[in-house]
Amino acid sequence: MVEMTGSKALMEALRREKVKVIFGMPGGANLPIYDDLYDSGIKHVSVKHEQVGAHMADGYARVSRGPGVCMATSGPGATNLVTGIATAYMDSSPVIAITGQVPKAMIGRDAFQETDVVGVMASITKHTIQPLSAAEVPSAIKSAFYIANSGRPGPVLVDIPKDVQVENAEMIFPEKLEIRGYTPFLPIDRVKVAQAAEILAKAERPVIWGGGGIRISDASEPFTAIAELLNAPVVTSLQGKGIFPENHPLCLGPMGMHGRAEANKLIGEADVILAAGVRFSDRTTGTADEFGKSAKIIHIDADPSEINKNKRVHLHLLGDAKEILGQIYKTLANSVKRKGPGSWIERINEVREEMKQISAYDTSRSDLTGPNIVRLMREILPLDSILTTGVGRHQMWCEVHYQVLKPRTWITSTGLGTMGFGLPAAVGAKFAKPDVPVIDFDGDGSFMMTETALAVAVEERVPIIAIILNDKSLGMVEQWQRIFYKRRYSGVKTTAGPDFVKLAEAYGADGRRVDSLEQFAKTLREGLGSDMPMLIDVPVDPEYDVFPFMAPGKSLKDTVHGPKEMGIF
Amino acid sequence: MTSVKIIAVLVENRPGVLFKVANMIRRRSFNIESITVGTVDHKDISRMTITLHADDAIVEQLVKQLSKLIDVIEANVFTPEEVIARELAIIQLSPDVKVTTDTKVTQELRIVESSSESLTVELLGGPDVIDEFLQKIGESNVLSVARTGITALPKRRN
Ligand SMILES: Cc1ncc(C[n+]2csc(CCOP(=O)(O)OP(=O)(O)O)c2C)c(N)n1
Repeated sequence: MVEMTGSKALMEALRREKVKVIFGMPGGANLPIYDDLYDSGIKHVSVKHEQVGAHMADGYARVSRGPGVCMATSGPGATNLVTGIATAYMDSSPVIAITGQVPKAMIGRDAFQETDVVGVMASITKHTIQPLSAAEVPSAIKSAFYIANSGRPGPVLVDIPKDVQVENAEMIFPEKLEIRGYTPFLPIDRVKVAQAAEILAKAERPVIWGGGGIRISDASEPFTAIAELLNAPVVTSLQGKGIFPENHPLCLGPMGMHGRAEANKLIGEADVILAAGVRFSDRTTGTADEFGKSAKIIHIDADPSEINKNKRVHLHLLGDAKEILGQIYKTLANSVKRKGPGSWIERINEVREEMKQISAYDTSRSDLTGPNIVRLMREILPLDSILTTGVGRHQMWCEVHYQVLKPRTWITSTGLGTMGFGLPAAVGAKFAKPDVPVIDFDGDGSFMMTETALAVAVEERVPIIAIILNDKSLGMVEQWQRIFYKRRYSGVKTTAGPDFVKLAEAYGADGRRVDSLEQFAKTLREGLGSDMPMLIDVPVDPEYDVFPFMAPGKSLKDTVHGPKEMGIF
Repeated sequence: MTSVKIIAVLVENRPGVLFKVANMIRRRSFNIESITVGTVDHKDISRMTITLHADDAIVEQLVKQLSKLIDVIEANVFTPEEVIARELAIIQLSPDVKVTTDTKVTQELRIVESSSESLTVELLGGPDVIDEFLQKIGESNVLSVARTGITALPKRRN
């Protein structure tokens, strides 16, 4: 046992968790922490805005498998974290937020910069901890890291009053913790494994559906093995893109509101759906009643509260997806021979051929459209490049046209759909993987929400590339207003948007504008070779919409393939 | 189908835990009929007994979400028939009310104070016992009522 202050114990606990970088912003209520951070050996990145810091920690976490850490002072610092923490919560990302709080004696008295952040964050975190004495700090941090990154991961808040930071105590740094209310994984039910294998073995038209849970549990290997053994097509949710190489012959791509037409169609013809690490989000399944109507659904998830939440399933298995899928694969491999291409694969190829004709997949144009830019970008980017996005049509064009080939190289906000996620997440990702290219593919609207992250990129010399599809509009919303509100464009047009090239230059980054695909390709290649952050402004037509499109409240079979079918052109 | 549900929750006896549990119930827009909290034999564990009207499927989901809270050690849902439930009521009646002790209900009744202003009784029993008593005595005779809300333990069966 050693005596030290709460703040010094925090540094020691963070070092024990092997924290290399903290994305933070100092202020009155965390000054003692910042004083100890000064010579802690832990890298601190000054984030300019706490939301930016939370997204950076999130991007870092999604790429690196480990928690990402962000820090803020009390009051406005803590409330600025909220959007970032909610984003991490919805996408099950292990982010640790450490906030300073006013001294204990001031709590509840509306002290300067006092916000009840524990109350505010309660419904958007996996857990919150407020150590009320310095001696509690080591176990608070130990449990925060353990809880954030086990079972179904999620953000954890540690709110430390200022007097606790400076208080001295005898510290014990626990190696292990027992938390009686928390069992990340229950033992796997072998009977259900056998049942699942039996249903799959008998399936005539199986579809394997994977989501973010497969990435989180690193379960791509058994997932792929099952698909290949059964010769079963694979669909993903948007979060699951990349858990199965999208250029694999069995991959139909993502399904959902802007999923691939073939995925949206064929899922409706399945007789068995193996749904692994997914949560049946309305954006992915459409109306729950219609989804998988004629199929037996087997659901694998880490979180018991996901079972039967949005859709009653026939069989569910709780636990770690990697282990469960591994066991199902083993059982299957013992009983069935590798299946050859039968009538189901024939049917799949038929639908694929049919869908090649839809206007959303048309490749005959050679101008600067979202799909053209995205496909070209894929050709240019090395395999292991990491792509982050904002939220909007640009993101959906990536969903449809950007083939993700490796897990953890596609980082996007799906659950909360947070504009402004892309750029800071890219910077965070680059900290986790400095050796691979990291690209933020963004919309002008999304970019402007957190553009200060560019200052961080320049300051920290992290050469990310931000590509802005600049339609001078909140394009996705404009599209909805075009389709559902008779072209009454309300609040979507940017009439005096910034000159993004000058903006980049003002931040000290390399700003470019391109007006053709050739120029785009050339500039992107230059950016890949540069050690400076680069921004590429790509002017695009705001009237060019994203398809396929399943309207909200509809089911996947109602997917519309182009503007003509939608009746808007 | 919506009906009365009794949720039994064992939680860490710590500041903020009642808030987290109540906040989760609020999120699903349930109205809590009653909630009682007290420590169990281990002083660091509390038992909450929550009564609400809810649909079977939604309450199943709610209980899973409650179980997910780190500070919740165990959460289970029961129908009223599956538990032994008790509630205490203190009832102030008009001084001239005659309470007889002939019915089953009133066997549980004890007079705790009697003055020229009021007659105060306490009544212990299942929630239906208290409801029945109040109904019998008539609204006009009741000055005020305090009910604890039910506390309950599941019946053990073999
Ligand atoms: C923080 C936040 N505010 C509002 C929205 C609603 N919204 C969804 S997409 C969108 C437009 C996005 O515009 P932009 O980033 O320019 O992308 P585009 O659709 O033009 O590609 C808006 C406003 C959101 N998702 N997030």
